[in-house]
Amino acid sequence: MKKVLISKIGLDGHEVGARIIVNLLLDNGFKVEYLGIRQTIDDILAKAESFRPDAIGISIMTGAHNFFIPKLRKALDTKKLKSIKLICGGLIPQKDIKPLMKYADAVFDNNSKLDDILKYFKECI
Amino acid sequence: MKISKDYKNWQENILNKVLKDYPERKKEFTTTWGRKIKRLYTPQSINYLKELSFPGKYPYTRGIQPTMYRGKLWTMRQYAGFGSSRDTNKRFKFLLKNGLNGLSVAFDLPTQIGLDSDDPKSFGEVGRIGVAVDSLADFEEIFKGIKLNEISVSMTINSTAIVLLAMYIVLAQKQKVSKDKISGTVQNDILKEYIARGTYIFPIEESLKIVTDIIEYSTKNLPKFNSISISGYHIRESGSNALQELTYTFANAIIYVKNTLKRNINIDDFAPRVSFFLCSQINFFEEIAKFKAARRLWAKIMRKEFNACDPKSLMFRFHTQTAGSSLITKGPLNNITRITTEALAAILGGTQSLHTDSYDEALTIPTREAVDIALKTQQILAYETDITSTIDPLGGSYFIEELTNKFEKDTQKELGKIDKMGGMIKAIESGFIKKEIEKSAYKKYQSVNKGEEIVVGFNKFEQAEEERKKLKTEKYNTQKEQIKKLKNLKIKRNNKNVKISLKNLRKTLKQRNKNLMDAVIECVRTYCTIGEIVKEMKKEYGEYKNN
Repeated sequence: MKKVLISKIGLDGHEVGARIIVNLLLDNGFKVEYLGIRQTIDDILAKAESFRPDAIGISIMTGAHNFFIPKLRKALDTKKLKSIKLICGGLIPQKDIKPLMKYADAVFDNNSKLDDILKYFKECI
Repeated sequence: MKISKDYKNWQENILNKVLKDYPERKKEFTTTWGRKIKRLYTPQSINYLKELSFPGKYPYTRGIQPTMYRGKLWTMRQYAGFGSSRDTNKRFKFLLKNGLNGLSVAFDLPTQIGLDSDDPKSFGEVGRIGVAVDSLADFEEIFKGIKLNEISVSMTINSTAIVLLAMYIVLAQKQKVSKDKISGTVQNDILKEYIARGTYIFPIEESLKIVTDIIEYSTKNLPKFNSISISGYHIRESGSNALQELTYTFANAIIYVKNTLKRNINIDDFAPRVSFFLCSQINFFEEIAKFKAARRLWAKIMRKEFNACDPKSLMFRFHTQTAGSSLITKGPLNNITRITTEALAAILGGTQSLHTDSYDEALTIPTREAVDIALKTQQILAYETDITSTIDPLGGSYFIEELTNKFEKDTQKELGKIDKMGGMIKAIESGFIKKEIEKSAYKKYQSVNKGEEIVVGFNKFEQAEEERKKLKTEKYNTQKEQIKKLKNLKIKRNNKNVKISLKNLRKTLKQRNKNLMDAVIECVRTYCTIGEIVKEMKKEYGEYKNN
């Protein structure tokens, strides 16, 4: 069974999307842990080390993706968690997607279809 | 009787013939909470005097005032705020110049969660989704050139409402505006933070104490101020259906009313200043029925459960915002159509105050151009159409009145269920409410995914990439600026007085039943930062642990 860790990061409390992805993955045979809101990079790292997910999905709705995603990727690599795929979802402007792909393995903005997200997880994780 | 016979006649001889060859588009047309919408509604749906009565008369179904918009239009109150206090002051002045008649302040997440801009937890978030306020100094700058006795101000702030209200009071004093002239609202609705919005700080009971401190202080000192705005908007936006939106709003409201009564404050002394905040979604008629049901049900609850006598205590006064979650970034100009429809529903539903989203709000803090269109949308509806020429123009619509009745009944039933569970606080603490909202949200998005629920331009009639208007987003360097401001503030202010006011706050906090408002006002006056004030409160109250 593939393992996915879903979390929000920073102070953003909008978690509808994150919870929908959690349910979607649970319904499709994934083992999922949801950390919730207000998680720091350290919180996520700690969970990653104990849960050992195949992928981490981060939801950001406040525009802070350029701030957090690169930092998180670097932190994961430092902790020898390079193999964990990092997926970013949320309110991501078009122009930010390509630069973000340097740090994230996939980016799903608010135009993403649930089917496509599920397809990605099933095929790439 | 006569109608029943003719109705049956119509069904058998006219309707069924057509249905045989041309079935309807869907098997069922339902409300967001699953109630069947009938093909046709007739006068049999309505009991006029009992259910509708007259505007400004119990149970206020048709409106809380006898003249409604013929007397006074709803307040055009656009939620705004971003970046630094200077940026926000500029946007406020732009909106006021263009006809805004009420201010509504959006604060950034650090401010809402009691963190200063130089707190490591704030990094990346300062000034992003609202204005950064670290101390009274920032607050003063937000209102530079704006007189508090000339405009009412609504502040969307909850966990740190006591600090922002204190700032508002001190600023009014500095502007020589007396307490009885201060007009506005502070959201101060902590319960919905635990189930939908997420800007809580302290545990539930301690937070409720602060909410009641604010209501108590405001009742005694600020006659024109709404000390709470009990919200369904965020509950709806977090994925609930319309029935859950109304049910949970009312369930929360009942807690707040009961807590205030426990302090031996007379219901008619504070209930007139209790206000509400609802969503206006794209399901046009259902939303209108929701607003009418809310008015009627609240009047009944206030009278029957809480024995309120003053008519003002029975009036459901509300602000509405068009649903942010109904907007998409594909074909963003089409959001204007959505927003206009939602605004129209709110107006036909009798709202007291309205915020219309900007078309680019699906992605970003509104640009000037977009927020101007949003404001003009309200102005066009108000001044160019005839929808304000009569009160409750849709009153008597068989469809809307029957739907209103069902809505009221269903809400009462759901409230009864929460009662049986042991009340709203238990329902929140156990995670039940959040789970229910999550179920609705998942169902809705699965339905969109399957194409059962249509979002034009998203899962049907999609446009090619090149045809799409690209949305602009703006950058703010607020974090750097705020950190510098804080450094300077801590040098310039009288730190001796800061220490004294914080010490006094600490002392007041220890007296568990003492109202915190005066102590917080003194802290604010000496330019304590929000972080410094909230730190003391965290020491005494602890923090909410979310499972």
